[in-house]
Amino acid sequence: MNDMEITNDWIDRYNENELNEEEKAFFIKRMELNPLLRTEVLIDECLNRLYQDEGTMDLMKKIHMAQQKPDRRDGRFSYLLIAASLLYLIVLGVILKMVVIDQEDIVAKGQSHRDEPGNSPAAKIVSEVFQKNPAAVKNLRPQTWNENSHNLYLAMNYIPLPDYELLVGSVTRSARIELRSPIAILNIQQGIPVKFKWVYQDKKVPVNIVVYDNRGRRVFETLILLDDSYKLVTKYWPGGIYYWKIITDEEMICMGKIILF
Amino acid sequence: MILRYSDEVLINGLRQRKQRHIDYLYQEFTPVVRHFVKQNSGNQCDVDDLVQDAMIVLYKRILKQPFELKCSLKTFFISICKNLWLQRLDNKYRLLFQADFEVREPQEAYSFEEAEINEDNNVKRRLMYKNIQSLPVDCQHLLELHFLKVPYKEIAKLLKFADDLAVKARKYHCKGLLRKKIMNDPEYYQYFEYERYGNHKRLD
Repeated sequence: MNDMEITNDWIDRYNENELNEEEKAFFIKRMELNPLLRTEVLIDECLNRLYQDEGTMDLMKKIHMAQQKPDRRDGRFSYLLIAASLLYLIVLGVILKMVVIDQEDIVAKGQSHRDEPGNSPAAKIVSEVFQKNPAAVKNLRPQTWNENSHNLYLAMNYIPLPDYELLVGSVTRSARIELRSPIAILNIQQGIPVKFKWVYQDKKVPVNIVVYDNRGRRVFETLILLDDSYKLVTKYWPGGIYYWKIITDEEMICMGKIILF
Repeated sequence: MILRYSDEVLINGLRQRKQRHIDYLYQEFTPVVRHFVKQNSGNQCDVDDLVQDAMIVLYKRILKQPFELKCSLKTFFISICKNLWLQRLDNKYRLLFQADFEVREPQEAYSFEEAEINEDNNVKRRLMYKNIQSLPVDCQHLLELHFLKVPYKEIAKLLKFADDLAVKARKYHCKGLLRKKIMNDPEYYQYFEYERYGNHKRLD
């Protein structure tokens, strides 16, 4: 009996009374010891009840469809919405156009400076101001290509990694530890620490926390031997998506995501 | 031009879950609910959830025979919404002030006599449905067919699986995935944390 291993199908089979007596006794014993398993059984039971209530399921689907349909009675609102969207697109287009013109201007000015280096009186005044107070000038000038590419790089930090996205929220039914925090998907501001907290099920085991960035590169790793919590400092991390893994005895316990903004 | 339906027609339509009557009910009653919810510290998402829950409560009430309406259907529907909203505010208040879940008062004080007007049940149902919708499409079809009691061999033919064993394996996988999704839903922890460590008793 001790050789039995509970697999994913046991919960279904238990709720559908498909386990034999020996398996059932073993499963109930496991459930008494493992609150996570108990919770899964409870959820499965609720799901079965919902699915068996065909009328309610069908009605929910139809209400959902009704919610998707535009409100015909409120036609004026939808016209306003369309008008607002168009206006927004036009304004956005104008801003983009202005940015492009500014950048072309900078490139052109740079070339003309190279041709005639600071001959006019205006150019001399500008160069003096540049030398005396470079910070003020930096605030005045429009964005350059370098800054744009930096913003683009930052934006790329928020592209999710599909391979890891699939695993976010995965929890194994490990008997070793149970994670209490953080939640699977955590949105926090840069600099706010992330608190990892867990409970050992029987004896204390080393806990490994590994953090990856959205390109799958390992950015942080730590091994905790006795504590049951860890404060992850994100102060110097650039904004973006990070994935964390909790590992004990080379077995992944759970995986989650932190979005730093 | 929008057709107008009588209460009787709407009740029969809802009983038979006819899409046009559901659409009409939704479009006709939602503005009033929206106004009420927004006046009482709610937002558009709350309105959508509330209308859905109220419609299910109304449907379940209609199915019970005899269903006798002592006021207009709209008034009845709005009163269900108000009732549900008060329960929801009560729950929000408890979460906000970290009230002890162990000493939960019974919610009958705010509710109708019917057991189905129970906020916890509605939240659970909504949470489960939301996560079902986020499953891969093949999983959704498979589970639907399974609970419609279609034999595994038939499902294998319909969904182009190799055999019934493959269907079974996929079903276990889909159910597992759905359970995990529900457990990792932030709303789950918000509303059901107390159940997780409480004494779970099997219902049979």
